[in-house]
Amino acid sequence: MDLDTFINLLLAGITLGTVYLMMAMGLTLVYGVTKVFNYAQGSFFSWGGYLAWYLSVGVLGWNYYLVIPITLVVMFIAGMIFEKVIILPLRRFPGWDFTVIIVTLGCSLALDNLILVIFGPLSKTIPHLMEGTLKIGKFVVAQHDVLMLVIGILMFIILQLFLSKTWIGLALRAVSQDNVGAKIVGLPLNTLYSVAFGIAGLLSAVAAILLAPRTLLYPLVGWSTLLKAFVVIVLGGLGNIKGTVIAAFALSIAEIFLSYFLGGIWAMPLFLAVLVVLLVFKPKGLFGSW
Amino acid sequence: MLKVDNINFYYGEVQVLKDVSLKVEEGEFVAIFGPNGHGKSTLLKVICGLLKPVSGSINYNDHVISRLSTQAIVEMGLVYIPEDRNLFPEMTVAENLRMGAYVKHARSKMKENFELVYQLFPKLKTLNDRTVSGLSGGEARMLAIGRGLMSSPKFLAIDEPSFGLAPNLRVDVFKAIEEIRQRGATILLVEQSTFIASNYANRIYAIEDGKIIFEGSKEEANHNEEIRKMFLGI
Repeated sequence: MDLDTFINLLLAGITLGTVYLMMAMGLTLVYGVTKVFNYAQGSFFSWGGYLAWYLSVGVLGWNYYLVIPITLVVMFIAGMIFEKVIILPLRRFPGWDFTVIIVTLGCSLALDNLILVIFGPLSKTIPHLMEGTLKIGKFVVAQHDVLMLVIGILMFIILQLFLSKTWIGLALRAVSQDNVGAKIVGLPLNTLYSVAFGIAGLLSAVAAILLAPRTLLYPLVGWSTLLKAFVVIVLGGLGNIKGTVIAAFALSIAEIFLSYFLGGIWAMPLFLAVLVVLLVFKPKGLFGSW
Repeated sequence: MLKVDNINFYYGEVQVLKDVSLKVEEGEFVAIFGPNGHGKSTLLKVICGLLKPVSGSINYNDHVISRLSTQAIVEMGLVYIPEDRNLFPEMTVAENLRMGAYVKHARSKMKENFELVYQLFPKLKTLNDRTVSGLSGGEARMLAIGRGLMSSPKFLAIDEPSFGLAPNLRVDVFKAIEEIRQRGATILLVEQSTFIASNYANRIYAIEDGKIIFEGSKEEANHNEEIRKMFLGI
């Protein structure tokens, strides 16, 4: 393998890592705040992608740079509504923490099949953020890939600032660290639960807009990203931010190199093998957890 | 200011509170004594809305609060400080205090409340950027009280403020609570031992097996043989 190929593969791996990181942050935030592992987040990813497709090249033909913010806002609100309508009413019942696993799984099946009904089984393409290439020294990279990296890092930094500086962000962390303590200081728990889902909806949409131009959109597109993000969380340690970042990039780079040498079908087995090994030998992840 | 009428509460089949009634007037310092596991903490949790009574009512400033959420009750100025602290372990001392000021009326007073907390507990200021998981038991106790103060309470319900503290720290904590009262807050606290708290309390209740078995001033408690034996250990 020459250096050129190596650099290109590395870049492909790193940019893919930003997508996994965003999905993993959404899952972690929702789990921390609401104690729900949201299996429907893969469907949030799919819906984010299909919505962007519908508004732009698919049907309405709107300017893509207008479509992106609209998609993000809609997916934020959709995430909040999802929590309010489906998760919140379950909390009143004993054993809800188990019920909710089945319910989010069921919702993801329903949401995916709704895509199939509305948009059909044929795969769709959404535009790259920018179509051109960029010359860095003697390397040529796609502008979309550079933007993936920049946006991924920006989203990560913005989320960290939001969680450490703003009232709502601090309150989200507080709820995830001590639910009773959060009640005692009068935090609006029900609002915070749905904000967490809203942020997960938004992050999933960003992930879809960044990744889908590479992978195409199809009704079950969100599942592989969700499952990979799940392995990222297990490897990095649930709630461990540093661990999650390292795990996201390590796994995505490994995935790209493995695909290059052995073929793309080996990506999922790689993740599942990592998951099995972790669950047997290091169930708390490489970097510990909360 | 606070009027509790015939509260009954059960954990499953076990009745933990039996027809509990009590009253706290504005500006008072009231202490409830009782052995461990006899319903003191449960009573405070019911008052602050973390638990809902099976029957009975709670009035606070002429509002019925027994069905309100803890959030709504905090917004009315009734603040609970738990015995097991319920701090936010991975957040710093300053962030924990800031969370205490989340409710609307407290946000506008955040700056002066920070100063008040640092004045009462100077140690907290030096620990500002430490996370809670690194604090000692006494420091965490001060932080729990400080976080309660950040909510600009008119009424503080404090669960065993001296539990697990060294004797000199206990005195400090009670001095701070008394100062909070002098600044205009009303205090209701529960304790297992009457040792220090009885020096500060205006009125005393005793609770046993979920029932209020005594109500009166400190002097009356001192003259009541049974109460003395039970709680003062004399």
